[in-house]
Amino acid sequence: MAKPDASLPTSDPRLAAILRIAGELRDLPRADFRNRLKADLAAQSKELESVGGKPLFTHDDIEERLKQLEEQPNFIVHDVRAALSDLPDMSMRFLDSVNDNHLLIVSRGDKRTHWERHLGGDEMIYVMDGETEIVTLTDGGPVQSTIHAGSMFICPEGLWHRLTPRPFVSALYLTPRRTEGSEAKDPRPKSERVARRPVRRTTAAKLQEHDLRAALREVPHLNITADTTGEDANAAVRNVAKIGNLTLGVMSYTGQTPWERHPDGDELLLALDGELDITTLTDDGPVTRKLRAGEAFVCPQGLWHRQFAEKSVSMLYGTPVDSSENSDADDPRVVAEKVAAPAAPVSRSIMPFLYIEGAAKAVEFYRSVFGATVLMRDEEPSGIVSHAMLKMGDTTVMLSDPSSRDVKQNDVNRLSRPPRSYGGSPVHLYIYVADVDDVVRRALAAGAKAIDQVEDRDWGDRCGGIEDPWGHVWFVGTPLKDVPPKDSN
Amino acid sequence: MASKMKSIPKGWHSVTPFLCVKDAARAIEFYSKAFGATELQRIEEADGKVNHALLKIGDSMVRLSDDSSKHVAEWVAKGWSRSPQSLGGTPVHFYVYVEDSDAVFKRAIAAGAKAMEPVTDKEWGDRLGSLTDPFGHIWMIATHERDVPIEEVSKKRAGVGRAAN
Repeated sequence: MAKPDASLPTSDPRLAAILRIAGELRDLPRADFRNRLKADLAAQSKELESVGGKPLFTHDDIEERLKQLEEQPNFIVHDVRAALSDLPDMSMRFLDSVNDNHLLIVSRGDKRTHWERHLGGDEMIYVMDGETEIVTLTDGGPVQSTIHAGSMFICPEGLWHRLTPRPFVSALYLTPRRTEGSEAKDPRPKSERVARRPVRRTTAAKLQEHDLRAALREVPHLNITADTTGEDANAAVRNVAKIGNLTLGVMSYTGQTPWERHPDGDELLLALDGELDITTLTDDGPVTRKLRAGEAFVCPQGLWHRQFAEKSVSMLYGTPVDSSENSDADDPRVVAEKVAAPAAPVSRSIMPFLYIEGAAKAVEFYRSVFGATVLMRDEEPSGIVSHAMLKMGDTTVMLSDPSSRDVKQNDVNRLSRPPRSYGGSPVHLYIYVADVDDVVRRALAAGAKAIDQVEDRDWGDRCGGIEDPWGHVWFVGTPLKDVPPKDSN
Repeated sequence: MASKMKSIPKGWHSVTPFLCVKDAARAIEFYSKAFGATELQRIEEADGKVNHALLKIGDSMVRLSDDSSKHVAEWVAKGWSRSPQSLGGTPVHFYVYVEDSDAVFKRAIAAGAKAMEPVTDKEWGDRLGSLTDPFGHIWMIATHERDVPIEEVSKKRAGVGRAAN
């Protein structure tokens, strides 16, 4: 990013809308991204001009960012210090979005900011250089914290706060999309201004600075070898805070990590000291980039990645809670498990075979929503998945893409077509999961359509119905209680 | 504290298909005759239409409903379920393992199914034939004969694709 973005003060209440647009667009396909970004930002600029504001991005910046995205889909390393170095004082720059609710932003300044608060999550402020005071308005009265370079501050959701740089500060933020600003002396209604109780200890503890290098000293350096176990790795991680669905933790290590991916969300990586090579398995094949001290990378949800540190590296990770998969395979996308003895692994149950236009994407959907694992995946040179075998719970489910060469050659009678080509499906699939509410919520977020609300049903399950983005109908259920075998009434 | 909840009731699998068919009563008869299905439950409406039925085929449950039942009428109103006959086909086929695919295939044809592909040995180790049942649902009837590593299956299938180009 060569040119500075047009600036706005950090607490401009009009900022939230612009950031939301930039964040929302990240996951669109490339062509759509280009069109939407242009249209939305053009509209936003007009709107802002009419109220006397300035757009966050100039057209040149947009062009530049688009070019980057086209050259490096899924893989942009953000040089945080460089992004800060040419940023005018009291301004900010959008780097990336992290999951649905947070934006990665850098900002620098030497003046006190306006009051600001965030809805929909906590905010992380990591001070790169300088020092700042942060005042938060808690129930128990204002609390003042001093955050030094190399330390992190977590501002709880909904708390008004402002920064006073001492004498300047540059910082990396993980900021919830929904932000409110206020230029008032005290942004709270009068009734809330009097401290009615002392500051709670938990709140006060949260409002302390977290010195990341001190945290690193509390855990051993990990030298990754073939004998390193998951427990060794866990023992080397020092968790510092939790923000949204991300656990923020630090770790220092040397060596090659196994493949890893996070089906439930994006992961934030920031190199604190040293450097490493990070490889992701993008749709276009493996891509490796260096991540140097002061550089950040947002690894998209579900993307396999691994890291190699020739020399010791210290990292900050923001990792989706309870959602990591590892693989020691050369290519983790193909599970090269052998089909062993016939009796056990070959599923005796009926295996549904779904025809899906765009099966490659559906595999990702079933993986992230239903937690399916891929047993087999045949991809044609065009990238079309001709055939895939997934394991959903204890059931094998197969998919085929009707536009694949394989299906076209074999299906002379045109009997292998996707649901929308018939205008519906005569088959619904009932799937048992551990938490129906969670699965349905994720399905809807991933583009499924609700067709039946999640409710407690008289047959003993909590159940809801969805139509997935390809037209297949699923009823998702979780038993209300530990049920004995269903009898035949 | 309640004990840890099981997410699958005993006797069920993670995924269970629900089939909409024209004339469910006859379909139950067919699935019993052809696939050896056991009828576990049948709920009829006042006019005798099968509101829904629960069958067991092999170790798997299958539910089905008559497309002229009130049950299905409610769904059709929402626009998301009809029988294969009224839709003109089905986007979901079923792969079923049986003890003897040749015998089951023969029985199914005798009971009115239409053969799509005769029973032959497949490169992934199954002896398999496909058919459309009299109600328009499509079944792949297989018997597992030998184990082939999954990665080898991929290679063989890819080879077949290239050879046919």
